[in-house]
Amino acid sequence: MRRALVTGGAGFIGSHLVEALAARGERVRVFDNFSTGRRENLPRAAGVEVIEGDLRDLAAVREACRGVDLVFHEGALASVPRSVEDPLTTEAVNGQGTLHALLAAREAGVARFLFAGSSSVYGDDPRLPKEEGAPLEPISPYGASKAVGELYCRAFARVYGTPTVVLRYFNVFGPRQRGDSPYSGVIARFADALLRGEEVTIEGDGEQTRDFTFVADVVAANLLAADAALEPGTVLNVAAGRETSVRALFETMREILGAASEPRRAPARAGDISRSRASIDRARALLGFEPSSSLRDGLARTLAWYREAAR
Amino acid sequence: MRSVLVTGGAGFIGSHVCEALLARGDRVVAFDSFDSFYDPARKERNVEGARQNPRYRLVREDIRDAKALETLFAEEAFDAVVHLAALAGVRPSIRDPAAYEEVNGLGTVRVLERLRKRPIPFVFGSSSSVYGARDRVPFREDDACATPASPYAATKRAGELLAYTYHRLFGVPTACLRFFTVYGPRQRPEMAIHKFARLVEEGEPVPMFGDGSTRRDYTFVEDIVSGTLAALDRCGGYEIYNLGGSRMVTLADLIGRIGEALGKRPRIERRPEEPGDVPVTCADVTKAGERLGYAPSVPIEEGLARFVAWFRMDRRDREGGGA
Repeated sequence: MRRALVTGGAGFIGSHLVEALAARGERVRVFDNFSTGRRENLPRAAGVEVIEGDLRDLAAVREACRGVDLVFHEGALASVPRSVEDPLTTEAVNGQGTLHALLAAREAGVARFLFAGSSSVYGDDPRLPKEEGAPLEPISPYGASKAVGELYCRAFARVYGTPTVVLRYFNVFGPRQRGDSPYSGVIARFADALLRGEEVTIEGDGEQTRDFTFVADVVAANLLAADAALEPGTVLNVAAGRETSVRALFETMREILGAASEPRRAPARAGDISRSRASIDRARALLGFEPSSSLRDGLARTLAWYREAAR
Repeated sequence: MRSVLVTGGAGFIGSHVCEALLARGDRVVAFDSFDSFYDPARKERNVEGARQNPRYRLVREDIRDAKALETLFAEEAFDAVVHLAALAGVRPSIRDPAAYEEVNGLGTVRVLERLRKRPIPFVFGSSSSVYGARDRVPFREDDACATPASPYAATKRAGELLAYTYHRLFGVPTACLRFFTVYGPRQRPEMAIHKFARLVEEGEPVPMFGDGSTRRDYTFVEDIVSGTLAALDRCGGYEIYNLGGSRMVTLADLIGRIGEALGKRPRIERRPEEPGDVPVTCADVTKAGERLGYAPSVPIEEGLARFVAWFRMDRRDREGGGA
């Protein structure tokens, strides 16, 4: 039986992966420094081991990788505004941290290293859909640090033959995404505000678009990519492949909740991009990936979770 | 008079850049850790001349030390930064990638952090290695550069991308200069031309990795210095420039030419190709030519002759000085 390491396993996306792996009966090890990850996110399943540690600490990452066959590297400082405030910590956790994970994974001789990449590496190149071959042009330190992680994944594939795969996630949402911080993703913030009966703040004109992707689809893509026959260094978009404006998103959420609130407008955020939609042809072709949820379904499930969590 | 910070100012390229800035009347602060990647005594010799100049200040600190940078920027009012401090070398980066990220990745962010509140021109010493392994030449700046062939190359591309975000968010005018295999007086001792010259001079066999057909675009350091100063003077927006010699020389040919310049016959020892090596580099310097007036002027024959003249003098001095 193989053992999988999930860095950032107590975080939003990481914990869903841990749950899915545990449900398949795999042995799972979680590596998390619990700065934003939470213990209550972790399933109480047998075979889930937890190591508390920081990606910036190479010795700790090495320890976590010992005896591991698969690495899902989800650990990161996952916030654009936070990265603008503190580019150095962002690069240390996301850039250097990914290098540490790669070094440890190579020493452990893993069969696959999956890196949680980000659509932010495309920057604000107006061409749509975003295709994997487009140039790296991130406009925030967060996006740059994710691009650095990718560069290391590809360099390791080439130099050492490390079987790396980069999955570029597009605006992931779902249960357990934290909504109570200015660093949170837009859906989590909207849900938090709507459920509290507070005013929702839309930054910019609301016409900016995103390819909102339900976390279950991200988990599915990871599980497929863990076992698919892929060239080391392969880069794949993981997304729903559909463009939704922030304004339309807000309206759908309001409708699901039967709320009547009007949003408040705020200036656009530094480092934010204007439009986004992924081409998922490559993931379809190489993984047989197919996004399963409609935006409405994903939102309904997410809102149900926030409602439950608020109790 | 402008005040320019040159990180890595005691190194091979950095020390030449400092001298050229001093020669035209600028004030120069050289920031260098004198690390032991190669004999730091060489760096002491690199800065000997500049230290005689009253417009020159030497700061022996490390870009891994955010506090040292903060102090320096509190003491000085720089007009521009030329960021050349880095761990160099493709092959050693394969042995210890973490050290390269610490200096080249995070170190670059620490320097950039000093510019976010007071944006001044930032000239970054990048590398032709960001183009990765490819056969199509020449290399153009708009290439995707997404597949580095070594951790060193990854850290240099990282520096370019990180600098771009400081340009976008904080308005730091930036020029990234992709240097193509620089050689000349003060060249680091482990770099191919210097190493080969030493082995040929001593009658030792020269290791030739692969069949000798790999090609490099060698650029004389004087051309690199003029390109760097031009980029500094015309630094606006965010631009990437190739600075190369635009002529390819095969490895076998290079070794032959070094032998000729030294008047000795090289003994070649074949070795398998090393990981991280790329088959060819060749700069398209059209953009640097148009925007910076860059025109490489020292052909390989002349450059090698000038290198060898320095190399012999350096050996005499080092032996004379007991080094």
